[in-house]
Amino acid sequence: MEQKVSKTTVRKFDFRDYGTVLGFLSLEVLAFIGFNLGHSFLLFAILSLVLAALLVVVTYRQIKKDGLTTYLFFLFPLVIFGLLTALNGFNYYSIGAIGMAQSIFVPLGLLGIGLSGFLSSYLKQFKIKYALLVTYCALGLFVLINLFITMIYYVPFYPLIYSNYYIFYNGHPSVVPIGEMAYMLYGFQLKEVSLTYWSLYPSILLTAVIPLFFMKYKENKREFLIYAGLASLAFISLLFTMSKITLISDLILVLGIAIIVIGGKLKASRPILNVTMITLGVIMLLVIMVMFINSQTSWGFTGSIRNIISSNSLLNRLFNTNRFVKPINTIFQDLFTSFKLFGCPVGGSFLDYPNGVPQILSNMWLFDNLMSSGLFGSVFFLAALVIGIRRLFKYLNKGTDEDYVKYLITGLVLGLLVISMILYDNYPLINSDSMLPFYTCAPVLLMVFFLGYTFNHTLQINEKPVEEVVKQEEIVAEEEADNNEEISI
Amino acid sequence: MKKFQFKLLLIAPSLILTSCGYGLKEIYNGIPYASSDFFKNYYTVWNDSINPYKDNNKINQKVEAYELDDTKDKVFTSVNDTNFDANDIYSDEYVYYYDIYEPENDPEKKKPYGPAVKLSNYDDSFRYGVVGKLFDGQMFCNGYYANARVQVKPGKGNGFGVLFSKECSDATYMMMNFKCSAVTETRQDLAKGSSNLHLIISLIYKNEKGYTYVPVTYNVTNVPTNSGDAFNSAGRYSAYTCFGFNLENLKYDRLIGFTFEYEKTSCDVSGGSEEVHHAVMLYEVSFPYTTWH
Repeated sequence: MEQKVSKTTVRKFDFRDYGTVLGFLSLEVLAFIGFNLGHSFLLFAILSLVLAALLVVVTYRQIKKDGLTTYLFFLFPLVIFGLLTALNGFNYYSIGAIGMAQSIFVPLGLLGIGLSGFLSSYLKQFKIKYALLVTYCALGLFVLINLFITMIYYVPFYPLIYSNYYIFYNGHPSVVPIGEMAYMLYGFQLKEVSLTYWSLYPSILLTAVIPLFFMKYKENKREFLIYAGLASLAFISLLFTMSKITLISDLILVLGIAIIVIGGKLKASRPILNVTMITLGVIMLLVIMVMFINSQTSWGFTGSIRNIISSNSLLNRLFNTNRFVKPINTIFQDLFTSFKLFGCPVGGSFLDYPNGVPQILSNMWLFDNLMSSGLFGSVFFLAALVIGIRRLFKYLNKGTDEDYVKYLITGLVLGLLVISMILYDNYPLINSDSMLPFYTCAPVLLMVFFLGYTFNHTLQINEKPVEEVVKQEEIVAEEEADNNEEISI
Repeated sequence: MKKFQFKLLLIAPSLILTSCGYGLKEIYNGIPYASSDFFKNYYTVWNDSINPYKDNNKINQKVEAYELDDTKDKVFTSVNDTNFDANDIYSDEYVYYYDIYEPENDPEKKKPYGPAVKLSNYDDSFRYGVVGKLFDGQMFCNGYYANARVQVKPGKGNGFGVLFSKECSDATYMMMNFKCSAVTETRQDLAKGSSNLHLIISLIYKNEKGYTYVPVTYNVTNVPTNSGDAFNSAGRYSAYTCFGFNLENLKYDRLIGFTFEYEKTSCDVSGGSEEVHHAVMLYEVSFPYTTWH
């Protein structure tokens, strides 16, 4: 009698084998956030945390302590900002406040998405160009749906035609005219939102025009056409819903994109652009300083400056009487009180607020952070941004990714930061008081993800000479080819 | 590339074609029907599809007018009526007037009737349009005057017709809260009185190809009647008629709208030598405890 001897082979379990799955999962998370699925920060934060946890498990052996420590210079202030925000009474007591559940997930979400961006860079299977493509396509789908809904309800150029017309809601005229509202897929319902908030998304999508200047159609037909389509969609969206305010923001955006493109294409123009950017930055800083000094009504020594401003009609309009600067002045007024330093404490009361006005929002994240996170929180957020953007420029100069990828990420990050200063609306819903602070908005998470990616990318470049990087890329390409063969067999 | 450019060029025309201006059908430059001139506030808007006085309506089934029977149809003309309790099994839980904070009305136990049964509770679509005033739970003037009510002109065809965007198949009873107003061309401070009305409320039901028109009539008496927009003439808690009836005897499904018309049978408000102009001030209409699809 023959006896069969069965031989079993035990395959060693290695988490790294799941890189492809995680690469795909990363794209999925980016797609959900890009599509603004459910307008749910809670969902995005949880997804990001799960992704980050899985990425830690898979890339654990690749994580370099030095790199992680350097990254913490970016991530730490961001999480501290999140923590100070979560502990701020603003999120609990203000009208339409986001409440405890979402507040808790502000630091966690930022941590999750920041880590995800950083760690996904370790994955060989994670290709940044596909990540961008997926993100932009998801955003494009979101914009397309919003445009179709809005056009079904209204007509092209309605903000200009119906700027003084109102609909009736709940027995009363709507709080804003038709010209200032649009329809959006918000959560899982179609809702009226403010036109400025609506325009934020096509404005971000408009940065899809950047790759067209850096890639050749014949070499990269498919991607070229996709980005061209997305940019056209953004352009049509902005054109059909053009209003005075969006016209200004569009012009600024186009100017910004032009600067990025010229800087990328004409290396010789970079010194001029640098000087221009620094000059603009200094002017902005000066304006903010003057605004700050002008708003300190209790400081005696600022009286002369205030007098100069109020006696000049142009300066008075610029710094005192226009509707954009008024809330900023109010925010600045009590900047050094305990409320503004640390934010309103949880368990405290807005009734104790110095001006008795708990909720001043300028709809500009730079100043609104002072309300929602206190002065310290805002400084931490700015610190994270400065460190992140510094790395972004390093990535722009030294990154090994394709040019269009680098400039697209730059366009996305800087475009969002600049445009949201004009277009963001903390109360996007027309018929509801629900608040959607800047730090819970989906594009911010995308920004943090891509900043995380560029951070690690530049760190990896620092570790290896360029030749090695190229060699490694070749090896990866070969491995991929082998894998593909195996799959095809 | 050319193919792509062609497809790209199609986006704009396709968007223009889909632009049906659905949200622009009822827009206003200012606040309509809220003039200090009584005669400018009559609301006589009919949805063409359910306007029986127009030829191009989509009413394909008209039934004979159904005269409401007090007992059989549980008609009530006041919340103190036993028929009100018979229609609304939760009537004990409500306080009819808005003075919930009066000592006798324990706010812990009772809630205002109007806000509890308003149609906008059941579906957001009731919030849109001028007639949204009728579905917002505000049963009384409460100092909002023309902003709170729909002013209806007497005479057949002078009322209004509303077609909802959703259908209901589980309505048990209909409720409406109103009073009357009477003024002359020059005077809006006439003495209070009462009116007798012949109500014609038509319920519109959806059928396979169009709408079924079911007129329901009732003679309501002693409807409190005060002067037009004169301040304080109405008073915060002046009298109103809360009218309603059970829908069980109307064997139709898929309720999708209603029309409201009335004829003035009599009115004891005197205008002296001047002609008295009359109106029903309708504050609330509801089909309590319903679901809409």
